[in-house]
Amino acid sequence: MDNSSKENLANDIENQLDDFFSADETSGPAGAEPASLEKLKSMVLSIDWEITESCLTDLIDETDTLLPQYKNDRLSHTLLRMLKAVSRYIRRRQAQSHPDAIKRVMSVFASLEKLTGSLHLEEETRKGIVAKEIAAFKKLKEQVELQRGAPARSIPMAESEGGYVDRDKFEQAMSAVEARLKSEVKDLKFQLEALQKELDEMRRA
Amino acid sequence: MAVIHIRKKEVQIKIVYVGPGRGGKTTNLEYIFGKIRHRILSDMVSIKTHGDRTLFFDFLPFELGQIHGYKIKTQLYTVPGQVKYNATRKLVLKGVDGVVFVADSMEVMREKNIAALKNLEENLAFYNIDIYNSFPIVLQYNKRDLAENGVPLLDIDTMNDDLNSELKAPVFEASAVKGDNVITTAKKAISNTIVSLQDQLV
Repeated sequence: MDNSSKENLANDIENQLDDFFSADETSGPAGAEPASLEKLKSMVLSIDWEITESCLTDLIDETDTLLPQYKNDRLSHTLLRMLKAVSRYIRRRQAQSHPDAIKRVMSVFASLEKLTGSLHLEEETRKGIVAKEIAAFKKLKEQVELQRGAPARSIPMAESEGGYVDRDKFEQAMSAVEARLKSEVKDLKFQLEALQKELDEMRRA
Repeated sequence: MAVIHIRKKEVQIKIVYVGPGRGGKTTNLEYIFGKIRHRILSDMVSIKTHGDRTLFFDFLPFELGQIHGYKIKTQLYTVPGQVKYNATRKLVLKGVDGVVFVADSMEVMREKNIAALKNLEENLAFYNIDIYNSFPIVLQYNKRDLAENGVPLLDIDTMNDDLNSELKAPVFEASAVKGDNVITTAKKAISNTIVSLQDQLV
């Protein structure tokens, strides 16, 4: 291969690489997700300013709109469900709401923003963020129960299709998520081993 | 070395990200994966220890498209940076076509950078590859963003003297966490690797 052919090849590679990577900088879910949270953000900020039933209803409606969009992102989906549950609790209890409930809304939203806005966040870090929110959520739930002097199961915390899910069901769901993650890791390990075998075979061929 | 299917007009190249432990190799791959995840069919595979360190390797395969009629399949790997995992590092380097050496810019990492490059040289020599003889290698001086937080960093001249005085490889100052120059580094590594294989492509 002469020098001019080498130069042509180098140029072609550069062009191909530019096309391959540059297209991704302007499109795709990474660009779309933060935009879709903009509306939610303005609603969260508005309840920080003034808590009205209408603001909370808008916030709950917006989480309803977003939930299907984050169906495949389990961690963000969990945060959205949590956001919706706390918002519903505040709307129902109004002035009797626990004083930390609004803080929870802010914190859960901040974590959601972190999860969807940082593409290079490691999975362990993402899980850690959600785990912290779950722990704080449980703590709030306990405080609410103490405040009301009611048994644990009377406080709705997360929602499913038919209505509220109590603490046990919520924990069961979280265990199921954990089990699913473990199973995915296991599958990946199998895939990796299979890939390694294939690669070795290809190299031997 | 690269797998070239003349009949299928397909080339498969293997690029490995190497460097001292906690230098940002995995973060580089995760950033790239984040950028291209919706375009590629494959997933990134990572095997980590409990402390979130790379235990075996990270693996990110993707197809670049066609160049000169050849379908280019790229596989990006990382190796564990910790000194104790040299056997794994050596294994992952088997069949490597190009390397990205991710150096840690923190002042305290100077000796570890030098040791990691020396280790790379030895491991590649095991496969009869001389990194000083036209081997496609790209250097990335990572964590440059830490200067903003007042962390003492090595200056570029010192890093060049330590790592690149003989290699004369392309160098990129980067922040893998922020994504600065991560894609540029990958592009250069892929491009240099394919050019180095050019005589086999015709």
